[in-house]
Amino acid sequence: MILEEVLSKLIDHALKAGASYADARARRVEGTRVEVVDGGLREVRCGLEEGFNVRVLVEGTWGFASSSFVSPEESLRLVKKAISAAKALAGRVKQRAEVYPQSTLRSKARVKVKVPLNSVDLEEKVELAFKLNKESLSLDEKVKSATTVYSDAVETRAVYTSHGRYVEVETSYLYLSSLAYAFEAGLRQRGFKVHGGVGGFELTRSTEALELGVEAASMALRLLKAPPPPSGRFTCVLDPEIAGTFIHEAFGHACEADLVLSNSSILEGKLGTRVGSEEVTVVDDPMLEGLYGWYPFDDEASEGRRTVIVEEGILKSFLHSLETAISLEAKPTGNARAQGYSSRPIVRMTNTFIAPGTWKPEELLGETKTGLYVKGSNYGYVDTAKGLFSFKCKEAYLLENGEPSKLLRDVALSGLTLEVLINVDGVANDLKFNPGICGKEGQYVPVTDGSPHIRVKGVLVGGGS
Amino acid sequence: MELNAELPRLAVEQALKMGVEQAEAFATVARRVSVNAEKWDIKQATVSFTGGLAVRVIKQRRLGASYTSKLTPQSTYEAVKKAVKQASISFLEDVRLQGLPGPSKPTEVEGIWDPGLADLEPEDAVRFVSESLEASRIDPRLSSINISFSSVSRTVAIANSLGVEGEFKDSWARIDVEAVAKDGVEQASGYCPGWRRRLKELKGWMIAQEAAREALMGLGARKVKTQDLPVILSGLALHATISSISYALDAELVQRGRSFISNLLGVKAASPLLTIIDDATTPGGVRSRPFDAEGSPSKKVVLVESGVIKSCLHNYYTASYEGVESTGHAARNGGFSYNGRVGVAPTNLFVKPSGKGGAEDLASEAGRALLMKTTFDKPNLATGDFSAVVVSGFMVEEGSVTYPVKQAVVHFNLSDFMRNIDAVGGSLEEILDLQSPPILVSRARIAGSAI
Repeated sequence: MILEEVLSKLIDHALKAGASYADARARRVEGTRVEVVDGGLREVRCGLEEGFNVRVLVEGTWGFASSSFVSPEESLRLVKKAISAAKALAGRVKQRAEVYPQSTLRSKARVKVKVPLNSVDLEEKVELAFKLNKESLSLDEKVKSATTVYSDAVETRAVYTSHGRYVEVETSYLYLSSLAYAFEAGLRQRGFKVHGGVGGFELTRSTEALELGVEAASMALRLLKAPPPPSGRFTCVLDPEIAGTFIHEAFGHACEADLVLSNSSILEGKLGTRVGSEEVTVVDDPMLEGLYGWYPFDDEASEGRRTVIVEEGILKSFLHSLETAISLEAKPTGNARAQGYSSRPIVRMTNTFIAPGTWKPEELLGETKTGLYVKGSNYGYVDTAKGLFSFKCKEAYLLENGEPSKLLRDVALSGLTLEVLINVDGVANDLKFNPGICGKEGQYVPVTDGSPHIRVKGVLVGGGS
Repeated sequence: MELNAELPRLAVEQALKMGVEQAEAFATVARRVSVNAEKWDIKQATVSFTGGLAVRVIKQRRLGASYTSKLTPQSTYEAVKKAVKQASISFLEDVRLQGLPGPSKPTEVEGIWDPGLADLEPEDAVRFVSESLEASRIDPRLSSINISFSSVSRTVAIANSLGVEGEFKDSWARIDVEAVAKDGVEQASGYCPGWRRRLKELKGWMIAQEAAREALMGLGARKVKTQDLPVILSGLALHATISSISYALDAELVQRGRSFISNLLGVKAASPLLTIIDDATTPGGVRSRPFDAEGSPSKKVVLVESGVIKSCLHNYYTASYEGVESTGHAARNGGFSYNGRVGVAPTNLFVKPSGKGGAEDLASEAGRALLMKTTFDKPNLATGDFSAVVVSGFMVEEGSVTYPVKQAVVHFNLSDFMRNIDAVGGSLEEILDLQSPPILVSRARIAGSAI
């Protein structure tokens, strides 16, 4: 039986059993992971995961059931489980859930691929990881340890909804990472670089991919001589990688409408108000081809679309699912995503970026007499209810008379969502994107963060010197 | 959903027939019931069934691995075939790979299975969450309580070609509560998790009230100046610090020189007040189990004893390379995920109490200090540098806990932290998989926002 038929039967059963709305999803992911450590093949692992789920709305309450045991009997059992889960909430819910009505649709989409991942021999993938690992280790004798990971995944997902919508999307992901450790005189430092996107094996042939091993090792070597940063508030020029993490963490999460509705976002009630300087425009766009957060349809079968979150400093829109859109009297933005077959869709970012401005990056740096030039992102997070964010940079330079001078290590930046975009006083014209994995409520999905160089005043820097 | 315990044995036999020297198969099935509530209101109940099988095979010091979420004989065969193919590709062998662990008797571990959780229905979970929500209404300034609850019952089975064979059932229930409080234009939040093997041991109402109190106590937060101060670590900030030290003792990081503790084994590198134990055999411990993710028996391991670094955490790969016994800390994605790489992970961590009392007692000893209760940051394990945003923290003045602090970052190095411990409290806090008294360190840099 074809997928569409299987899912449509589930929806029929759900509607007959009393659901006012239902959707069903199926997901199949086949992936390969190669790990080379210190010149040896630590692991080659291939895997297959598949399963499906049903979500039902019964008298304003949600039930959800999922299973990796794929069979017709199991699917019927699953519908019953979802219905009884929804009924378990009966009488306990004050606010009845609704979903934004959608028109019917049937569509299949496939990512554009030049070299399909399954057309490439495993040996070639392993060889690439070996080559990058060797390049890390042979850059300098101080580089003593390195890990290179190649991973790819081909994913097919299908969504059927009781609005009469069926979408099927085939995507392939590729992710490369290099981690290098350098040692000198009792000091130890590490460098880390990633490259990835949506597409085929051709993604490994870009300059960024080919230089990954050398870049990670160079960073570890540079950091060997770097002291920790000073503590306090500084004007910071952020490179595109850390500025991308910055917009994702400092602002993006607080725009997710489910957090707004649960009282967990500091941006509640701020639509239409100024939240940033006129220099700042922030966009979320899953339709950007080749980027890690690409999709034409989300996990509720809504069309992916470009959403301007902030326009010249004014908060214009939150990111929505079908439920949050109707609750907040907005239109769906196609941002409902689920990590896998066992996860329910929640509101997520996709490819989120600060739109390019007019400054040249060298002008931004040149006109910053004192401060920090911060580069690369290790990780970041936000407490959206407090509006408090934190992120860690890979490296940073002291700026003296507009020139990067001393290199610093382990720089941690922190600030407040409501203050931070107001403090952006310069946006350059060199927009770049970086792939990442974003976690929320235990679900991890591929995203892209993007930005040009930006300058932010009064950023709190935590350091030890 | 029952696990067919024959599948791992079948997979091992098939792999050996395909010409590998050693083979291992690991399988798991789990049932999860979850409920989430937003802004005091229950939103959704979910039931999920997951399962899968992982295969590792070794041929001429080459490791091939595969996994599948389908637990049928046919998909098992496919997974075995893939793993064998990978071990046969002609690349450099892994010189550190010594094989798979041999058979040994699993450790008897009590209190990890609650039959009540295996039968838990969404109605029961909804009732639990409703009661927790109601209990949290302790102050009109609370504007929202969000709860995420889940219960899991699971079966794990493993077999390898050297004679390892084991199976266990376990269960747990976990609640995460986020509270938001508002007073005029000011907003503060609190977060508290709870995790237990048995439902009756999980006091949802208490955890919800604790999160609510943390949010209320966060109102009126003030900025502080950049300064050096003693710091008292408690709650999730204490968890982040102690668990990071245990992660830095991952033997693979240590052997490859990647950890800030790499050269400190056997060295008195910490205050004599510090003793850290990892014990996978603790009765009822949330990470207790009879054997680890490759079938080695669970053990109690002293990591730091009176300031001396005593042991790393080993799986068979790292232990056999060093010629020592595995400490039973093999983990797949930190636990027993069939789709995870086999690495190393700590289990139940325990810090030995030394002095008397809790955070308030340490505050009175410190005089002026910062009490840091929550951060979500993590340190750089290569350097030990730790810059942690104070998500929840309080100033200690004249020996008393006073006002909440906002927009501050604490910076210290984990090596310095271990050396500069001034006091370890006497009352144990239970924070997820850690039992530890609060700890006072003599000095850390606080980056503050006050001018």
